[in-house]
Amino acid sequence: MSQSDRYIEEVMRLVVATREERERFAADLRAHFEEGLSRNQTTAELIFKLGTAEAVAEAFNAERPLAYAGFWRRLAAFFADISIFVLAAIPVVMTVVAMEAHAINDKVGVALMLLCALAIFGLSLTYFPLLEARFGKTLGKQLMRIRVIEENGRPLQLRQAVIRRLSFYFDLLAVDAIFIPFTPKKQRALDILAKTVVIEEPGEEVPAWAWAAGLFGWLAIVLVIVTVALPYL
Amino acid sequence: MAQNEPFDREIKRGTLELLLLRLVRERRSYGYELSSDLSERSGGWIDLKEGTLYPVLYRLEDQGLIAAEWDPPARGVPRKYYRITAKGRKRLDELTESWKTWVRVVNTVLDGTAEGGEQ
Repeated sequence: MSQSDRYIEEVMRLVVATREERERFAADLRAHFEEGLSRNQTTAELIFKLGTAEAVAEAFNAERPLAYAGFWRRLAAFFADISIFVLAAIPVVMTVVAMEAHAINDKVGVALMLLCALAIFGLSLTYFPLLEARFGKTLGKQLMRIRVIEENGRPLQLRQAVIRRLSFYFDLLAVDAIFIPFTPKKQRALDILAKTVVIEEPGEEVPAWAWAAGLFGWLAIVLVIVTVALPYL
Repeated sequence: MAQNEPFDREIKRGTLELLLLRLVRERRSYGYELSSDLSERSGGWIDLKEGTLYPVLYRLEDQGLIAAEWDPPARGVPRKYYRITAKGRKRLDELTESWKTWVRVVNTVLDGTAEGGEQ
C-alpha cells in the first residue's frame, strides 16, 4: 500500500459520510495525487499541501449536519457490549462447575476464579476507552452503526474517551444516560463534559437482527449459561 | 503569513465560494488546478490546505452551482472538471455585488475613523 493510499484511507476513516460520498472524495484525492505526481511532485509534498488527514476530514465533516444517535440505539449498543462481559463470565461459571464436580481442587479453582475476575476487571476498565479512542466505536456501536466523535467533528482523544466513561466506572447503571433525550445534541452528562457526541453513520440502516441482538443478546447468553450450568450446581 | 487569526479564517471561509465560482466561470477546471490557481492569483496570500477545498466544491456541486464531469481518460491522468451552471452564475453575481458593497462600506467606516471623523 502506497503512502498516498494510506493517507486516503485515513481520511476516509475519519470522515462521517455515506458510501457514495466517501467514494467521491476518495476518487478526487486519488486524481489529485496522480495529477501532482505527473507534475513531478513527491507524495510527501502533495500530502503537506493537502493538509493532515485530520484537518481534511474536519473540513469535510464541518460541511454537513450530524445525526445524533438517540437513547434506544445507544442502549442497544451498550447492551451488546455488556454481552461481551457476560461471555467473559463463562470461564468463571465453568470453574465453579468443575469445583463442584471435584474435577479440580479448590485451591486451583479459587486461583482460576481470581484470574478470571482480574481479567474481567481489566477488560471493563479498558474496553470502552481504548476502542473508542482508536476506532471511534466499540463492537456494540459498530453493530448499531453509531460512532463517538468530538463535538466539532474531529476523532476523539483517549482523554475524552476516559472522561465520558467515568459514569460507567463509578455507577454501572449509567444514570447520566437519562440526559440523552433532553439535551440538544443527545449527550450524556459526561459527553457534555468530554465535549463528545454519538452520531449515526450516515446512509447506513440498522437491520432488525442487530436491534434484537443488541437489546436481548445478553439475556440469551445468560439463559444459555444458566441452563447449561444449573444441573451441575 | 499571519493567517491563523480567527479573522483571516472567517474571511477565507466567507469568500471561498465566491472565488471558486469566479474561477470556474472563466474556464472549466479541476481540483488540483483550482487550488494552485487560487494560490497563484492571490500572490500566495490564499494558501489554504488543498484537501479542504474539495468539501467546498461538493457543497457547491450539491447546491447545483457547479457541475462535475470526469474527463474521458484519453490522456494519462484522469481529471474531474467543474463548470459553472446557470444557477451558479446568478449566485456569483449576487455574491460579487454583496462583496463589493461590504468592501465599500467597511472602507468608508475605516477611512472615517482614521481621519478623526469630527466633522
